[in-house]
Amino acid sequence: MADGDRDFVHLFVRDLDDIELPPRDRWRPAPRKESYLVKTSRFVLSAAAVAALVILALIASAGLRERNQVAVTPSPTPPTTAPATSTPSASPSASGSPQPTTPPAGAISGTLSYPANFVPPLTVYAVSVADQRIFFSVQTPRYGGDPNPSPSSVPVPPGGATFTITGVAPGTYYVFAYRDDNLPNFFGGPALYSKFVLTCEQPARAGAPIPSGACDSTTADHSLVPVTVRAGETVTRIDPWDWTSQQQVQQGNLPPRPR
Amino acid sequence: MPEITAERWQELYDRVFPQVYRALVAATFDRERALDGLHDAFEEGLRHPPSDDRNLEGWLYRVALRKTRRGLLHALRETPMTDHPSDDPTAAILHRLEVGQLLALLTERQRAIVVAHYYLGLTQEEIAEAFGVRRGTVSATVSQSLARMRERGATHG
Repeated sequence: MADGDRDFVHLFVRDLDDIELPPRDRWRPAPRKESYLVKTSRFVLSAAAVAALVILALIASAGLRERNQVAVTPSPTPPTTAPATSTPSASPSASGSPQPTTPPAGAISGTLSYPANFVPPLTVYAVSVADQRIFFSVQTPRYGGDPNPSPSSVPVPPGGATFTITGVAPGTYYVFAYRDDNLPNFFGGPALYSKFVLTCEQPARAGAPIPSGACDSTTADHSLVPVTVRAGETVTRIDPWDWTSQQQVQQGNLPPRPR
Repeated sequence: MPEITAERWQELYDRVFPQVYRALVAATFDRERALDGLHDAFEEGLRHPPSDDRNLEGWLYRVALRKTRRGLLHALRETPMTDHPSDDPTAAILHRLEVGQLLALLTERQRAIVVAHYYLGLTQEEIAEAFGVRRGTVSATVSQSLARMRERGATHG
């Protein structure tokens, strides 16, 4: 360091050391007291952040659900009076129609049956074979029979109790129906659109011959039949008539009831 | 190098406070600004302490200067102190000191660097690192400041 520099150092130290220091208790910052306004603002901001997160989560959840095309019924309220001609069908909105960006939808229709003088209120499901989270459904009212215990029972139309699930995205589905009333289900499971329907029940109602032994209660095949839906087409005669599904239930061969 | 804990930071802060405070007063000509800057730097050190205790005076000085409201960026645009007489009695005190009269000839940025060099004893490299400028800039600033102070000293000498 040059002599001139040393002089400056000496000068600086000599003079600046004379600068009076603040009191010792002011060396450190005093603890900051939060005002009521600051506390309130912090609370409001925290609450807003939480609310924003919840909203984002809901939006993301809705987006995922729509992308998966998981239809969540309820379908329209069952009519309290008999329909004139048509049977209940799922409107696109009621059956959880897919997003507008998806290909044109198809439909599944069939008739309902129950081994009694009435058909209980049902929900008919079409569950995707590829992804059981994807399903479409329709609810139907109670048809025919004694008005008790369901005063809302409607007469069976001339063509029989039918259903139509509309807005079904193209794909392959299993079709089955669950009772919606809380009465004991003697059959212990849903009604299936199964090989038993194709092999036994439909031919029997049409008066066609039935293969020997194919419909024996011990050997009949009650496995589900895949139904292929194409864009803009309605697949008909998909009749969930097979109420003897207990074996399939016990063997775990059925998709769980969609919720 | 051991990490600086909160307790260690407070201990170091108290140790270097007098020198850094006086340096800040000399650089800003404002005791309240100096103290506010040091308080903010103290809290900054509690949240994010320096990686080690080497050149702690330099760290505290730089952070405190930055925390003062005008800071170095404003100081770059400042004219010498004599053009803006301060109401702070500190200025009057400094003006009674020989070094105060000399520092008043400089801009705040020049004062900050000169005080760091001649009072805090920081090397030009340390000042350059602390202020985020090149060493050549520090060297040039010191030379210009000395020339100006010597010229004034000769005038009044």
